[in-house]
Amino acid sequence: MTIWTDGLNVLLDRAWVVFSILIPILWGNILFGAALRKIFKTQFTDIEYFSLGMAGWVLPSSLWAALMLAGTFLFGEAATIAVSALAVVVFLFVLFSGKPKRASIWHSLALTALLAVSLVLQLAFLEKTILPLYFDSAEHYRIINYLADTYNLSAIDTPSTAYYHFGFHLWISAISRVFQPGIVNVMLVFGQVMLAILPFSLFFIAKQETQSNAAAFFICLLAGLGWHMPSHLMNWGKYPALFSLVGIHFVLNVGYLIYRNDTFKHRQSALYGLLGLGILISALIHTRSLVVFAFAALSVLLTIWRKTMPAMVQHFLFALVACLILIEIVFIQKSGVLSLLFGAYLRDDIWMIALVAVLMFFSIKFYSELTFFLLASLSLLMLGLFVPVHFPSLGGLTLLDRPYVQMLFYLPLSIFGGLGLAGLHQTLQRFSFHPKLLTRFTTLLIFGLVALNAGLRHHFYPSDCCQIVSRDDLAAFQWMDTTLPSNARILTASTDLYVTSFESANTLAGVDGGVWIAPLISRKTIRMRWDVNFAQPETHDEICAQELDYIYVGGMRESFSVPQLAGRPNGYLEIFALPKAKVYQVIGCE
Amino acid sequence: MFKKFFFSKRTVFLVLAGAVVLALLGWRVMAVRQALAKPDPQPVLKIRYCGAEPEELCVLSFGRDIDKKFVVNLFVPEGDFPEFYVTIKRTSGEGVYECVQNGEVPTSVYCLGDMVGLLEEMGVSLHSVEDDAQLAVGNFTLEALMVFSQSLGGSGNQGGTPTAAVGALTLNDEEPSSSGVLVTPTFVTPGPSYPNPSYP
Repeated sequence: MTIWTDGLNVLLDRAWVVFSILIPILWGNILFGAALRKIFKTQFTDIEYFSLGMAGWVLPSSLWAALMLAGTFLFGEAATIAVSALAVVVFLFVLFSGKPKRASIWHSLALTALLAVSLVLQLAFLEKTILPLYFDSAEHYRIINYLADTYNLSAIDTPSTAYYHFGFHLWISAISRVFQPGIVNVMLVFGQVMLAILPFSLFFIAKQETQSNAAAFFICLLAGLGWHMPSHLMNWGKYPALFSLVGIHFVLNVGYLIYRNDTFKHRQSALYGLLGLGILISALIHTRSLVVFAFAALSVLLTIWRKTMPAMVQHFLFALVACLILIEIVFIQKSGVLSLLFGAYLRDDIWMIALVAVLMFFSIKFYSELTFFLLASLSLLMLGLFVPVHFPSLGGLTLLDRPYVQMLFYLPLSIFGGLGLAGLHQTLQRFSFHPKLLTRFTTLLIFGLVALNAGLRHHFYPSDCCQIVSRDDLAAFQWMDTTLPSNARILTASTDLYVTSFESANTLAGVDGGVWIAPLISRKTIRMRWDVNFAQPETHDEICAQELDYIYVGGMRESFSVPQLAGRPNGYLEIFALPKAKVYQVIGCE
Repeated sequence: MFKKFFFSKRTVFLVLAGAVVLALLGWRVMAVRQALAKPDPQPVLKIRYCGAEPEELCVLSFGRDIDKKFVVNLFVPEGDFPEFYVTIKRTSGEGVYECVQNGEVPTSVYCLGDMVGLLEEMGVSLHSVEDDAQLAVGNFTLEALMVFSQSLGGSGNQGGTPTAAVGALTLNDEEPSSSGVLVTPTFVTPGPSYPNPSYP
């Protein structure tokens, strides 16, 4: 089976789920595009409006999801139908109001084809996925399920204390409510659809800056297939983080329009309004995006300030930021927790880094302003890994954590590549020997290199690192759901969570299928470190003291020790066994 | 005017949207028709032990529970597979095994029934709940039940990563798959990049 056939199989098997997610995106895209056309009229091309809409859809779509929840809470189940009907009416009004505008059918077909190809390639990931990966996904499922119950009850219960990333969970629960696909399917397909459409939203900023379609498409290609991020987020189950990238792209686009005050100064109030909305929605999706926006704003101020300096000082500031980045890289590499940040890029994306490193020379030469902004942002992002913050409920954290920064690196790297390609074009134009032919050949060569790298090194399927659920686990869950009492307390294996530079181990993260017990079958689970020694009587005493009834053992390396459990038959009774999933009953408690 | 209307953005979008809706409707109609139509007699599928990436109907694993019930864990491909139950023919007789499909992952089905003894040949058969038609058949033999050795856990010390298979049911497909006899150890060999540290 090839990636292409796997993707098509998934598309056919889950066509309804894909449709359920694409409809609100396209709806939001068209509405947002119509609003932008009212503001900017003919200042942008159709492709640029489409690109802006590929991030801007999140505004009307989030409003729809929020109205759904609020309406259901206030007026009951009928509000679901009413809000959806209102969405259709608004859509039709937007579609048929105004004069018809002449559009290029070839552009439309080309964009549709590119979207379709991108979607099919990303969907191949699901051919080998059982449940959303890693331990984060289970918690996201639990919260979405909680919100979905809110629709059924038409009442919001006391929120769970572990509630977060509200925007993402709200949106998924709305999709699940209106279109009725299962939550697991919606989560899985959502991730891949986001990965498919996200790169298109970068076209706008690149086109505006370079006036080059080739450079703009190159950024999209790099962002989509050049790096292990953001695709690898699906191995981590970090769906809200992926969703937050839509908000970040949107704010980046609007921020760019505001920055280009000279071109768009008559639209500033509308742009600031859009910026505010974008920041608000991004924050609701993922609060750490606020930190990213703060750092971006600071970088803009530094860029503006640098522009006012003499040329020598500008060069000095550039070198200063570059040195700061180098120092930060040294500190990051010294930290065992943070060194993974560059490890993956060097291991998986080394050829793309080499290509972008070469293109950066042209980026610096021809687009120094935007390049400086990106370098300053990169520097601040890495600095955020070391700035401590303390929350009463969450304990000691840093402004940004390693996974989030690792996720974001693809963005400046891709833009460097696009700016560099545009700069290279300008350099080649100075050659007297067939400059156009040389430019086209170089462009094709560079595009080809990226495509070849993607074919050979890009991971289109789930990584072995993070599939912690097996099909034996699924059978065990079903058995437990029909057999164990509803108030059963089940012990599951976990390990320390290390994502910040402080290496404090206050948080435990699940390591095997046990993380899905609570979300899927609503049994209470208690975590214990995986290396607990069941052979010791003290462990049994502790388990009895905590009134734990059962112990779940998955099939991962860091699951509980079956030899130890089996070695104490007076304390632990095996009540269910499959090769990669076992359930033990705690007995012998006095 | 014809050109202006035909190439207007509205028309382009309506044509594309209409094509998508028609395709979905057509697919849906065909699916409903297939469901309603009298089914042609389906050939009986051959059921084997699953490989690393199951694609067809196959047996994932066998197990047991506290009530000495035999567990048959199956992979059922996505699509319209009828509701079924399992029968297992042994030398001592035939048993019926009720099957439960996972609500969130419909490709995962497990069935419970009478325990099967070691070295017993099993004729596993799937039957439609609606009309008892045979859907699939396969032969398996439980070769061995590996028992955990007390010495590994008795020392009280936390050993290293355990590599011994414990409590596993080794089975043999009478017509071996291309990979030969398949053993499913309880502990898999540690993968190259298991999450430690977090988010690898």
